[in-house]
Amino acid sequence: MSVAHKRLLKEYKELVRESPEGICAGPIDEDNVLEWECLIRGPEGTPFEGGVFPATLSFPKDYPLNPPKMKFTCEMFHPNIYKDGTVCISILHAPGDDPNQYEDASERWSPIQSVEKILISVMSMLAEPNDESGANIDASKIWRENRKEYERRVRICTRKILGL
Amino acid sequence: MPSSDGSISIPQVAACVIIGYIVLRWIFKSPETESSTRSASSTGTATPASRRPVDRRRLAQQVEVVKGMFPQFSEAAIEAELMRNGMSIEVTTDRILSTGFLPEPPRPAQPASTSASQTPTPGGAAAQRRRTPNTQATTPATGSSSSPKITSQYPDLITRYNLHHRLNEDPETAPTYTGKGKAPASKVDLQSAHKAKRDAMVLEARRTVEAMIKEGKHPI
Repeated sequence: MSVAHKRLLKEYKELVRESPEGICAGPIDEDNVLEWECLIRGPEGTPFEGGVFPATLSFPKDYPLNPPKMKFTCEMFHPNIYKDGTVCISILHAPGDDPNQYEDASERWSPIQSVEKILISVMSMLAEPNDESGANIDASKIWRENRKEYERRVRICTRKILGL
Repeated sequence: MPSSDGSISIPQVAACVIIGYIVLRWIFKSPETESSTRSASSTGTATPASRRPVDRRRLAQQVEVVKGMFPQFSEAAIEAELMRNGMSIEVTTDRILSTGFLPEPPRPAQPASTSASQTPTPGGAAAQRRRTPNTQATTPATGSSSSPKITSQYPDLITRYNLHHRLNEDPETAPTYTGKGKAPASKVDLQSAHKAKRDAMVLEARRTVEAMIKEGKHPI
């Protein structure tokens, strides 16, 4: 078994045992430990509140040296989430990944991070978008200029994924 | 150089060494790599095989060299770039330096099933190899083949996890995940604990948002 497999299995077991509030993650198929599904509960006091948002985590073969890629598998309206669902957040960037060097090395990926930390970071990103790295230009603009409309658009996404 | 009185000449020695080397190589090579080295050595002419002949060992060495310079990129991405540009380290490094990144190679159409067949899992994995329909439904559209448009083509979570029959159950009596603090004994336990929590989260969210809508706290 490779290092990545061992590490991911360990994280999976810990996540099931500790069962942290508001997040849930595990392999989609038990035979392929490199592809995970996860759920993140919408943080309170935000238009995401009440909902849960599904995403996939695709781990590289050299995990934990390199971070996984995270992609929401639902419609999302958020400044730091691309329209295809890909999440743009510093914890998912390897130290050499940022050509502009505007992110602090400490907040980027390193092997001491974990799936749980990623999901918690993404959860707080939902609550507090990062204005510096816009991934969805429309969402960034509306978030800055018309907060009410932004919240309405987010609530539509929240309902849609729950079939409401 | 002509040889005299029966002593072994240098060309003869050289020929013996070369033949010996080829024979040993032929013996110790697996059929797959042997065929690739043979086709690679035949001055790079195209073979009927769909893949271009590639010297795996040379490729691996080159990947290692590039990886040494740019450890942040995955081997797969470097390998794909090297294959694309005809195994040139120079072109690869130029591309990395000018664009700042290397695209990951496209995944096979069904990542879950292909890697399942590649990675042997220990201990009775074959028994677990059955796949439930809802896990297939959740398989992400990572490849370009299966992903529809970005619009609301995502099935909702109730459909995705097949929870319609549980929508009306009483949250008090519903089977919820109670395994917190316990270490699941087996892989099957792990999976069912994960799924129980996942389903409970979805059902709870559905009830919460439904209630918010009823109370007028979810305006759209």
